[in-house]
Amino acid sequence: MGGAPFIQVKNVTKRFKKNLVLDNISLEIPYGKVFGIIGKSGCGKTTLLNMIIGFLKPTKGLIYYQSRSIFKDMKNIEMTFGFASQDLSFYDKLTVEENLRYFGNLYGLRRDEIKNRIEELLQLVELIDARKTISDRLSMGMQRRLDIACSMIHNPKVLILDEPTQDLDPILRKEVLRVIKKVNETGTTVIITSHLLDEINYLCDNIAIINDSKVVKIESPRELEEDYAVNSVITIETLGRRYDDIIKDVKKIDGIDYIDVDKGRLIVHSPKAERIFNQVLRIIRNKNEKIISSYIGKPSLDDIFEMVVKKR
Amino acid sequence: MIKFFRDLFTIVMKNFKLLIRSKSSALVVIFGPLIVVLLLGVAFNTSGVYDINLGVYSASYSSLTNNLVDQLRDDRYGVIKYESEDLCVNSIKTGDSHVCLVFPSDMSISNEKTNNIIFYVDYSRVNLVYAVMDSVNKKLSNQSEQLSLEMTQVLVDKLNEAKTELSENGPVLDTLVSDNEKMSGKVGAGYDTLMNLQLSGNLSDLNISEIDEEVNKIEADYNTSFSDLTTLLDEFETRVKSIFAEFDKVRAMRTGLSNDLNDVKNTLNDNKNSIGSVKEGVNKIVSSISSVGVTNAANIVSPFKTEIKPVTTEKTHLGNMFPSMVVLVIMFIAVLLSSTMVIRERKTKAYFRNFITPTSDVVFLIGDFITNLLIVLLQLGVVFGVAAYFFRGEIVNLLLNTIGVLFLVISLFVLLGMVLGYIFNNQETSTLGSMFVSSILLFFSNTILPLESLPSGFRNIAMFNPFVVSESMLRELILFDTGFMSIINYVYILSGFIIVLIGILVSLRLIKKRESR
Repeated sequence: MGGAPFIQVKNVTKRFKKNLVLDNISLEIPYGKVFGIIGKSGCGKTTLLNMIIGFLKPTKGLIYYQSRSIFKDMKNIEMTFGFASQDLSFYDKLTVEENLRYFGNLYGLRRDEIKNRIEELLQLVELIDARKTISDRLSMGMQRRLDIACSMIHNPKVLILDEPTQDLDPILRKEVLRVIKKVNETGTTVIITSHLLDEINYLCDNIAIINDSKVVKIESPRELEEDYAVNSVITIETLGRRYDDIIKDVKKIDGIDYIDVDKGRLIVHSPKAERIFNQVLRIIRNKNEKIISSYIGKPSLDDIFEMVVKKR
Repeated sequence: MIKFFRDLFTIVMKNFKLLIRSKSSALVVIFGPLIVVLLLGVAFNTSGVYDINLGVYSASYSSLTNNLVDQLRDDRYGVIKYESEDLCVNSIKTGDSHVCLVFPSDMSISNEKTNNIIFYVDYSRVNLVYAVMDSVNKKLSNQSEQLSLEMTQVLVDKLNEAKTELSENGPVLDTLVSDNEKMSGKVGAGYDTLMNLQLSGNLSDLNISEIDEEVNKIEADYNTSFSDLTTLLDEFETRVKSIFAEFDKVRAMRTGLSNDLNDVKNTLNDNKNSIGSVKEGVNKIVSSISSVGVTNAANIVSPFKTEIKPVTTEKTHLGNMFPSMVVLVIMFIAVLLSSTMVIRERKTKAYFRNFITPTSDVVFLIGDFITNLLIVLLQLGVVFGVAAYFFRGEIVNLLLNTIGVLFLVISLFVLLGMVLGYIFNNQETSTLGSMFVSSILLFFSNTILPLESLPSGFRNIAMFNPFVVSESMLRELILFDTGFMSIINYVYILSGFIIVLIGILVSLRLIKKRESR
């Protein structure tokens, strides 16, 4: 699969009337990898996925699958791509097996193909014991796995998952992530969006960060962490939480890359974090703020993401 | 093509599974209408009106009034007597009575009285009012007719008796005339006899003096005296004179008698004429009575017998209502079911996934359409099951005659429901919209009020109401058994509607698909 990119988004712009959602973005998705797309809510992640499966047309630009515009070969795209949207997409009142058989029929699979594929998928998504269960009686995690199985009934080469772990508790989320990993291991290219960066970090080979309608970074999680590893993060929580006043003075300190308030805490990114730590504490004390906690650490992917999208 | 039919089968089977597994949907969509249809069938399987209370009032109940009230009080009508007219009228307002009848005080049949019976009715219950008024009026008319019949029969009987009497007395008059004539003849003969009687005489004609002279001569000749003879002659003369005197009297009497006989004769002649006149009169009366062509009292009372014969053979409301009921059931079930199914499909989690499968939108539309069609046909099976009870052997013919039209009608309303399902965005508004549209179609049809009662502008539009068109088609086929060609224009109209609805439906599906992205 060397040479031309497996999927290529080229100079794509998408507008909904006057609302610019995506602005001249370009990215390449390699075959057999897990490609993550992250960005703030409403940044256009889902719109981008809808365009990749050909459900939406770009206002400008083109999307290629194996060097061929997807809109010129929609039948092939429909048979090659699987899509699981943010919302679960199957019939509540059908059993697991009936849902899979229904969508298998709609994808035009033969009866024996459907039978075999159902067995494979039930094994893959670990729903073999729930095959006769009415779907709305499944747990949320099982429903999500069923949704993924429905997306894969036609054995797609590309599986697109839009926020697949949304609304799941950590245990169920792990189940789903494990399944996605297994899917990828079968050779299926996975494109996934998520706002939970630890799972992106766990799953993805490459990450595209979308901010302000543009792709601002495309790197592997490791590259991303390395890029921002030079920075350390100072995290301080005060009793009064009057951070706006504090930020005005902290910003004057030399060597600060990024400063923000997150979850009631003041976050300061700086390559000279150890050196400016005391200065920051002093400013806070001068403001008569009582410090509850303060520490210095390396940035997580969440911190990096925030840094990338909120940098000011 | 195989994929097309497999997809259709898959979609239809999925729809049925979803419908059956959703208990509330199954209940509402499948069993609800079946129950309604069965109830309708049982409820309207009659030509009468049941459980009707008649309020009656009369200031004074005569035997005639009581008789009428008893006539009304049968197993279908409850009769409540009220103390006053106001109470009777108010009973309609409170719903205790459906019609109030006010009878005149001391109602009786006489020359002086006219019996007006006043009906108080509540026209807001227009269907019931006409049914009850018709029925009560019929009963009162029957009673009134019975009374008229009895009275007329008496008159006719008396007339017949007079005619018989007069006819029987005709020969008597003839005898009278004949006897009169005989008497007149006899009187005439008597008169003539009387008049021919010689009742005059001359003493000189008897030559008594010559007898005397001869006697004298003989006495002179024979010198003998015949004094006795002379005396006898004298006596004879005296007696003759006396007889002549009596003759005079008899003549005078004869003159008087002849005058009387003349008078009798004249009178007899007059009587003869009079009897002739009487006979002529009697003959005229008999002839007149005989010339009365209609002597049957029933025919005199009701010279016109009105018999209302239905153009159809149905005997119950259900039979007459059948075409309307079929369209009504089809419309409500099809519109509600289709809109519900479409909106439920649109709201289902799987809606989006259906869009991204390589299956045409048209296949989904046809799949939903077939599902609805099958369910409505199932419901219709129940309707025809009810009908089979009433139409008996005709049900097969009925089905064969109407199957094409029913398919057209069901298709139209299913498509209408599907369009509504795509127009509205949630179950509640979709149901409301379906009810609203169905109600509008129902209101502007002949089912509630005749279309003829609408202003002409409205009427012209309402004539194209799919409900009206469908009902007209089925009425012509089911009740009048007219051929297919007689409804061909209706078929064109419905087909036109169907084509338009298909266009709208496909457009809406594509619009909604675009909106869901």
